[in-house]
Amino acid sequence: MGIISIKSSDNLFWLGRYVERVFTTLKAFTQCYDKMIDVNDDEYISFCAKLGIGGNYSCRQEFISSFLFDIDDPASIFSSLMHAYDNAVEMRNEISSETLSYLQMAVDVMEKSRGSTAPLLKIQEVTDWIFAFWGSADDNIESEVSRNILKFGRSIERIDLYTRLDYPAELIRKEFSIMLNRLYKVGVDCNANAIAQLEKMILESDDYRPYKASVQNELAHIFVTGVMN
Amino acid sequence: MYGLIEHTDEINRLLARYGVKFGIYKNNVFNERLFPFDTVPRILSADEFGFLSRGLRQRVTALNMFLNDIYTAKRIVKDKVIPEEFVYGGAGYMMECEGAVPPKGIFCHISGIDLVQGSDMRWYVLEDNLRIPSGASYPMIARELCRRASPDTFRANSVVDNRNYGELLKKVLDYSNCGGINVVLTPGRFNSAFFEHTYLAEKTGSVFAMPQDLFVEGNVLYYSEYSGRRQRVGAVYRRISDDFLDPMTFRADSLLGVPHIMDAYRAGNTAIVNAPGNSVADDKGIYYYVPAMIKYYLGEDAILSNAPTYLPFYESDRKYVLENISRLVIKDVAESGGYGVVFGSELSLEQIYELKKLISKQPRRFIAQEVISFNNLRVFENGVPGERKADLRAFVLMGEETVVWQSGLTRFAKDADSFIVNSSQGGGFKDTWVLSR
Repeated sequence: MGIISIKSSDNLFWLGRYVERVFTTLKAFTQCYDKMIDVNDDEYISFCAKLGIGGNYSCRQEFISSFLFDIDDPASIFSSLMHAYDNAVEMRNEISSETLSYLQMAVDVMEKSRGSTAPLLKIQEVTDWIFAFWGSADDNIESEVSRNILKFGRSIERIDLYTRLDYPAELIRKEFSIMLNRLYKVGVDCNANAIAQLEKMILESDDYRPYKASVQNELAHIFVTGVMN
Repeated sequence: MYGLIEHTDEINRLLARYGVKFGIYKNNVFNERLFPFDTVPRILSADEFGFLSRGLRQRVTALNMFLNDIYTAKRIVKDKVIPEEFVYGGAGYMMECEGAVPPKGIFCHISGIDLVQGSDMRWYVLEDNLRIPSGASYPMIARELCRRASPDTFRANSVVDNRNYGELLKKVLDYSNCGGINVVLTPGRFNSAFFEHTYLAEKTGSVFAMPQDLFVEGNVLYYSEYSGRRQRVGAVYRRISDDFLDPMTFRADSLLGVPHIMDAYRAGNTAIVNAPGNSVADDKGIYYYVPAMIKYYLGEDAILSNAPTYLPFYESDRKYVLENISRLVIKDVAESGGYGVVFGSELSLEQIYELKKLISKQPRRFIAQEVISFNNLRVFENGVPGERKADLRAFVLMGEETVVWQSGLTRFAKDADSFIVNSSQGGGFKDTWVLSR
């Protein structure tokens, strides 16, 4: 394969972004959850503020159930997973039934975990399926272009989330370098100005944090064919 | 066989894993449902399949000749084998297809012929589906899982492998291809058979396309790549109905179609699979005439029987239908998917009165059939054996040669006393085994 349309490239890009969003926010959520046990009941408020999701949750318990499972909450992990699934299901022939099946299983786990008294134990499987998804994508996506667009989406989302979550500058630089590598491999026109700006803010300065908002803004404009899905 | 039955739940779980679903609209809400799979297969012996195969090839060959004729010379009408008003008065005839002959003269690339087996073990054709018949992917993927679940069952039985449907379909697409890539065109994510669209694109190695990915320039159909390049399209396996296929030719309000795709088709630059206009041949009214069609075009008697059918359009048939309505099944020719089918025996006196009035007023709209006593099939529901009415959708593929896929979709009714086997009505499916000896 490898003959893909603008819409398909968009599906792949956002598939990569949403899968990564599920993966990284789930990891960050787990850390936040842990702190809420005996350090700070209201940890979720700063967690939501960092992610820029408003945090209109009335209490810790509501945050836990909504952020994980409320499909109507656009910030929730389940909602992100369904967005990933919706993009993937249109790309079955490109990513393969096998790769798609791992997302289907992640969705099934989320659905089953909703009523659990120990949801974090259950949704560990979501992380497992995501790892399997990436392994299968590497193995089964024949087209290098498609694979790179998918992973390019993952890199963009990862940098975006890492900066929101105040991860160390060194880590951001590493992810940015990986992203640049992918971008050149993708072989599509991209926003050269956005890249130049990001290089200045991430690679050439000691710390990206003073430019955090600008970094996120430029990241949103790199993939010029991409539109929100 | 027990090795399969004991793994029914696991196989169904795996089918869910692979997203084997169909979509359904109810009260304007779209939902995806799993299609329950019963592991006990329908088994066709080599002889039985050979008989069906001959009959199906004969039937589809005649239907294809009918389509070539009806949109060009119209000999069958001129020779009064089929009444003119029956062809042109029905919703199936498409004036827009007049004079359009598809590449290699193939209209019916993929035909889904629905059959039932009576308790007398005779097979009857219930319906010809020549537009966009769906369902082949279900037994194909189910077979894959059944073989994993119980290899001994397959080692002990000489079952012809049915996992070649993708290759057969690819051959059909390649044969009709007018130069360029093959694409599978879907109307989108919320089509009831979306799973199958994506799955068959994967299995045929075709490019999967949404309507906005395709455009026509200079009577040539192209697929627009994200890089700005374009690929010429030689064959489109479209899963969009004629009405919505081309807003410049058919429904102008269609947002699902590809403008001017009919121009590319008429110019012989792309094959549309199945060809536009096929609805005139799988109309429930035209069904009545298929045996006459076979005789007319091929000079042969039909190998496969129709279910005994009456056309209220004819006075004598109308009289019979009105007198015997309480034991007949009445079908509205405009409906499909199990809708518009009523059993006279289930109607109240008032409903019978209303239906009789309607039939008398619009006789062309209905056909009536004798209720066939089905040969029920064994199913296991939650491990408990039972019996259900079931049909068989056989797939006939027409390319360089006409072949019948050595399998088929066996659909069974949800409830023991129901005759409606459509998935949209809650039924399930079985694999269909063809034995090699």
